[in-house]
Amino acid sequence: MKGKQVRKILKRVLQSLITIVLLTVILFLLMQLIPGNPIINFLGSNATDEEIAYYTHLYGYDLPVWQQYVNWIKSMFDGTMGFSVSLQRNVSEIIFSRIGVTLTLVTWAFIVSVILGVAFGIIAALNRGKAVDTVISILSNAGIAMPVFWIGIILILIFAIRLGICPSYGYTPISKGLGPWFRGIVLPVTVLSFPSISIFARQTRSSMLDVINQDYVMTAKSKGVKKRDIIFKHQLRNALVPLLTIIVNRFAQMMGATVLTENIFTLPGMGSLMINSINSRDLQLFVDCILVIAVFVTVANLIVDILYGFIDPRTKE
Amino acid sequence: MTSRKRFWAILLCVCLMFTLAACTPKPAEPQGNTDPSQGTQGNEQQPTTGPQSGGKLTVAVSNLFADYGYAPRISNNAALMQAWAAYESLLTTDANGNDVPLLATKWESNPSEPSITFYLREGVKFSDGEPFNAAAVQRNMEEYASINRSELANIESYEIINDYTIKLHQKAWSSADLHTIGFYVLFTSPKALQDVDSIKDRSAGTGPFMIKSFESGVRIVYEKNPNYWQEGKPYLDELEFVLIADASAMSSAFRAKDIEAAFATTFVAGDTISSGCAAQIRSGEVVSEKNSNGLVAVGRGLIFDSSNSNSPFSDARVRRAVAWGLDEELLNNAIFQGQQMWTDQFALPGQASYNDSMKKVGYDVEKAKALLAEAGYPNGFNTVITGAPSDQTMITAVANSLKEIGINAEVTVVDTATFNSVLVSGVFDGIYVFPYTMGDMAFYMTKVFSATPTSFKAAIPNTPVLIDQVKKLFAAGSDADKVKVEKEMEEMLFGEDGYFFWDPMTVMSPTFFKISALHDDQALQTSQWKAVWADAWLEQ
Amino acid sequence: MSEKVLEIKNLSVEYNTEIATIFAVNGLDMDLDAGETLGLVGETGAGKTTTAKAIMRILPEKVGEITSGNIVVDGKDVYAISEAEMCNIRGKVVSMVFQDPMSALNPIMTVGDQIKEVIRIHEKKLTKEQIDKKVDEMMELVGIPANRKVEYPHEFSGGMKQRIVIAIALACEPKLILADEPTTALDVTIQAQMLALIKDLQRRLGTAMLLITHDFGVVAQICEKVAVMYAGEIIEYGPVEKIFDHENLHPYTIGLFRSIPNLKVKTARLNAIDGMMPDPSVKLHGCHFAPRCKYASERCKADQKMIETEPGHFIRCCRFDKEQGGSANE
Repeated sequence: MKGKQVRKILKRVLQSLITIVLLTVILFLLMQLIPGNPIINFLGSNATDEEIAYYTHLYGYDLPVWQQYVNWIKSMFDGTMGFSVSLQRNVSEIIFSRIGVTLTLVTWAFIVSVILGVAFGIIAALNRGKAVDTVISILSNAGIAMPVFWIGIILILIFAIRLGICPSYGYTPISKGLGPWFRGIVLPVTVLSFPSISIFARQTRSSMLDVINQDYVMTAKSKGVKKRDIIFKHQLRNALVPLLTIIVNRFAQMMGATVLTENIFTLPGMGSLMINSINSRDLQLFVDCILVIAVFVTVANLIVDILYGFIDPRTKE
Repeated sequence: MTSRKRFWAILLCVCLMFTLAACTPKPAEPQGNTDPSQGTQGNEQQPTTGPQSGGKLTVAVSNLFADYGYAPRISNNAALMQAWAAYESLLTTDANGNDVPLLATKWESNPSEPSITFYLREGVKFSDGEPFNAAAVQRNMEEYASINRSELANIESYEIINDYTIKLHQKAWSSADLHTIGFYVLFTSPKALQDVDSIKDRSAGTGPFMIKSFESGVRIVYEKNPNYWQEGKPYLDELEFVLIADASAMSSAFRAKDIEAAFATTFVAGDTISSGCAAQIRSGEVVSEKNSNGLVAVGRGLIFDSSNSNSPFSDARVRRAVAWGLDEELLNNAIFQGQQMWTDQFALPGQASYNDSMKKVGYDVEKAKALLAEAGYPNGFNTVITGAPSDQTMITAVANSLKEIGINAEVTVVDTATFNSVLVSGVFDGIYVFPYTMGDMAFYMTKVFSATPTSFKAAIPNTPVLIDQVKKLFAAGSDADKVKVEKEMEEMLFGEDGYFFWDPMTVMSPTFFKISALHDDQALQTSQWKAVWADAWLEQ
Repeated sequence: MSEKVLEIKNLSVEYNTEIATIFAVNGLDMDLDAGETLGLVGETGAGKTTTAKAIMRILPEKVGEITSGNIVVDGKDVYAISEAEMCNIRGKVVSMVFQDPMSALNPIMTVGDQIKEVIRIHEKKLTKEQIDKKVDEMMELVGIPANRKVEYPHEFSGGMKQRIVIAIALACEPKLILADEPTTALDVTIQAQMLALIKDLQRRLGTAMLLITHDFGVVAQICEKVAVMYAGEIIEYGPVEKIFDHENLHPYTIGLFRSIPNLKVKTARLNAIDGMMPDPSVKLHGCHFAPRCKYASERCKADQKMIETEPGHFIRCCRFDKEQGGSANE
């Protein structure tokens, strides 16, 4: 790798870091504005003044805001990420136990939706105007319009209740066997990937259509390049360039969309953790959750930015 | 493509979607009354055999506590229901609300000393093998006191008379202590208390089960305690509480037969599961249980900002006008479809301290308007009524009713955490929804009427006569005395000329759904948040 | 007599769109000998590019259709063979240079790779080193340093891109090259260079060329023969010297020559040909040019034939048909 490229990458990494730090500050300040107190939520409304004062001091919520923030940053480096009042354990322990679920869910949904979405998009583009194209386009629009919650409930109804082949709730870790794990993950992955497949299909289709009649495709044809190679080497690779941005954005959105999926299927992931932390006003936990997700999204964006440099040589300048 | 082909393609897609939608079963409308019946064992069929050992029971719950290992931290009712699998208290209650022995076989109150003596059951061991005795009791109570649990606030010292007899010396006589200490203090092995880390997510109690595993926010699994003091019990091998946040997910889990029981804490959740499992309930496969004796019930009333001198509610006549202007019983039955209990005072009808002989406030719109006029509001006034998300139906109905007497209340809903913070501070405008735990009147009234109130501090003005009455409650020597003072207080608050700092609206009752093969769990029978896990068994 | 590298007989091409059917080429005949350069001249919309695409069999699928005639390239009937066989012919036997160099190259492949691609498809027996050497050779041949083969199209100017396109077209030493207005998109200053280069390469490799253009100047520079196309058919064909004599030509051809502005004479208006090209969605009968021709008569309503007015010089106009008593002076 040339020195110029390395410098460029480092610059992007630095930008990402600054973004994340700014984000933590903003989040921290925002949480101060929301009414409600984690101590009261934890102790219950029967708590006496003394109890509240004692625990407020114990957990450091009586310190000035800037000091709370500094303590939190410090806790990043000592590995605890702070202490969650509502769950009575270190935040890092909680997130560690939960992130696997969300990552598994999002990764598989992502892979499935990229493969299926792009495939459908290519098929639709190549058969433009024909029956296949119309069917795919309509189903794509339906996929975006259909409420995720409804799809989830229908799937549970069919596969968990009627057929009994999938569990109706909970996460089955892979340690219980590949079969049970698959049965437990297939419904949530389907639900999570549904809107993404539709979006990718639509986008791939229009990207491909843009590319299909480009002059360089004509040149390739006149060289004697076979049809299959034209599609994959010339058309798709060029269509991918704008598609990549959409794909990465979608990944970021998916991290947020897991909240609903985790709720429907009762999966103990980051999404449900975030919701619970908001409801119990557990400031520490909430901010850490957002941070973790933000880091993932930032890293994903960073990777794509770097990839773009290799895929589309025009962006190198 | 030709428009004809397009038409067929569109038609195909639409048909596909309808087919998918048609896969849903007919939303079975409960015919007639499938309301989980109020009262005892619901539609439970009599078992064909005696208790059978073995099996695993999975119960869905909507909340899990942070750590079930360190018992002194557990005070939340819903968490107690799960914690009682591993820990026990000195006393428990029967279905009629009477105190019955558990870890204590006998007890004596001596108001003149003042003291309470407990005679402990012999032969009980903690799950780690340590003996349950007076020293263990003292150690546990001291632990509770050390984290400022209010139940032990009145205990000055402990006297160990012998291994199985312990006397608690009170600072001042309080009639509440026996029940609150006897019911809410859970016992952990002193050895485990020495090393608190050893009971992080582990238990060392006397109960029928012990913690097998705990996944924070996911599930807690209990396994049989082989050293349990009741021979032959528990019958179940394993007891699991799994967190399912969404009520319709609970309902799906039932129908998919992934769980055997579910605990619905709110009316809406209970309703969702009832309608989702309507078919199973009709066929008797699923049974629901509710509580009827009102013990440890949670009442929900309307509290006014009476201490705000600028508010119309600072005048008792206005507050009484609201009580006259609302047909609380009708509203309760309409909103909750007859599934929640109602009372016009603190105690439930049928309970000892219920005052039947006092002059009561009924439903009379004219009288309400007259009172308002007398207080200086002949044309009514504007105000605000605020509740948590689950209260929306109730406060909307109340606001509509209040219009009839000229009060225009704007309905506001706040989220649960915000709602909870006001419960402590008491700072609000107009009318707020007031959840309160019914039970021992002294224990709960002292939170509101005392020199240092802990609930709704700012809302209720300092009323010396009520504070004195509460003190009298604590000082009551005999049960008969206590009942007399309690009835007096009911009249002072909810009689025709009462203060009416709040107006009782409804008494919430959770619902316990279970498969009919589960027997003798007595869920919600002895009190609203309790089941007797030691007795529960599954018909194979 | 040299082998004919290209033989087109009675070619008709239609475009079937949803809105209308376009009759782009109507009964076209054309021949090309090995090594020969033929200029195909005509206005936009005459059907020149369509003819070229038809030869390469790269007309838009489903929409473009051959309704009559056949095309034989190097002895093979282009529309009788399979697609796989046709792929072998494209790039190897006949290749094409397109009009706009700016978009003719794949933006995300290096120029070297794009030249390599055509070699790899057709010269399967070469080793990697041999292929690389060939790529270098081709680049040097068109005047671009070989070390630039790792660069991407956007790093080259328009003229250099066109050279690369030419390099690709000639890499496998085809027998016929179809050049569709190769200099139209370039600066006039580069134009001369490019034409010289093309001519030089063509001579060196012995490639026949069909040069499509609307510019007579280009024809004059490098073509041996010229064919004039109007409304989908060839209306004049012959050696460049004969036609550039401006004598006894098809009225349309005369009009074309007249419309070239004379730089030495001051004029107020350009000499345009009256009327407009016929609507391509209407099937034409008789002489396509008749509606605009000042010599039109009853005889023009019949389908016109190509008439050899002098050896090798053909005109599709009944006025030159001496058997019918026609005379160019009528």
